[in-house]
Amino acid sequence: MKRLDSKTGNTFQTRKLLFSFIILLVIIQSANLSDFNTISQVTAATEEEAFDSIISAFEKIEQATLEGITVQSYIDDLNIALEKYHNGLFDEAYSIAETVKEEVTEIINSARWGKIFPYVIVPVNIVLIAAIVVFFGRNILGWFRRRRDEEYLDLEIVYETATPEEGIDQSAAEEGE
Amino acid sequence: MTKKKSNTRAKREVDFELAAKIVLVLTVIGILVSTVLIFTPPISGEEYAELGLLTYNASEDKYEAENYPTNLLYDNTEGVSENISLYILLGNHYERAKFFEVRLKIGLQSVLINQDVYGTNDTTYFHEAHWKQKVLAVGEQWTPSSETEFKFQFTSAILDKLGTSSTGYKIIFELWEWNNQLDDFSYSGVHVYVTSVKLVFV
Repeated sequence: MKRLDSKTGNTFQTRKLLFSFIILLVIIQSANLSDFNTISQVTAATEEEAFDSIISAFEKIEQATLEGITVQSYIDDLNIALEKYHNGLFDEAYSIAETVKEEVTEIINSARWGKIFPYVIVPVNIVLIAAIVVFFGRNILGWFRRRRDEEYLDLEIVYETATPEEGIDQSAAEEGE
Repeated sequence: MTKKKSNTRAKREVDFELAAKIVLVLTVIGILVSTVLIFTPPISGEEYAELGLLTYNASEDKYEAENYPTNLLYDNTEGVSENISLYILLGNHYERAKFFEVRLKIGLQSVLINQDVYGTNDTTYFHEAHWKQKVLAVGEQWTPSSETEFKFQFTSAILDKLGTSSTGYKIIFELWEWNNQLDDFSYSGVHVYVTSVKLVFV
């Protein structure tokens, strides 16, 4: 039966797995750091700016709903922004729309990570557990074999000499060895 | 007999090489299937928007699809008609949030409006001051209320554009929705109108 090297093979494989896991974690975490909060300080917004901001916020809301995220409160806020826009309060409309856009963007990013996380962590865990079972399972099996062999060594074979009338077969006793 | 026993014992021992390969193959298959599931959009049903037009029955305090305006008094001196109040009901049955605009237009009785043809500046009067916009969530309905009320009058500006008509006018409500590709509203094809609205000049 083909066997791995007892120590060097195991260590190298374990290091490869750990390194891959660390790289995966770094990649996934870097995706969370990619969005930057831009806090807009607006002193006065024009009608066009206010409407563009409302549209941008709506696009984020649309994207969120497409991904199955509930954003009802942000939709209500956006409708308030629309109402203020139609009443000529462009600054307030702009401010509300920008807030909605930023917060919905954050929600989308965290929801994406939450959606992907199980599909990443479960296979990684399976691989790790499999590696542990493969590499340490040999040791456990070795221990089991040693214990079994010790048990067999403790076995005592008793030979009984039987008369032909009693029908005891000496070869059967030898089979016990 | 001895050979049979040694084969039986070998079979009982776990082949870790094989087990590791099987686990790794299953893991790779699981990762591939999960990736496909993540990036494959779910199968969805029919998507549509609904637009209804109602009046308000004050005596019964309810909104109803009856008693639409047919004859309106038009004051020639003032150049305005009596008030018309109509209420819309708007529903979003798409799989995403939608930004809707309901456009109020007035046209002659003969104007053609259908799911492909909408009122233009040439064929209808755009009552823009009364247009309403609303963002609706998935499955949300904008039910009749003071918010959805269209309260307006026929004015001299409308008559100057369309002319007086003995057959009456159409009061049209068109549903437009925001189109990201066009970066503007586009006609959804959904519309509702009141026909044969006649003016009684006083």
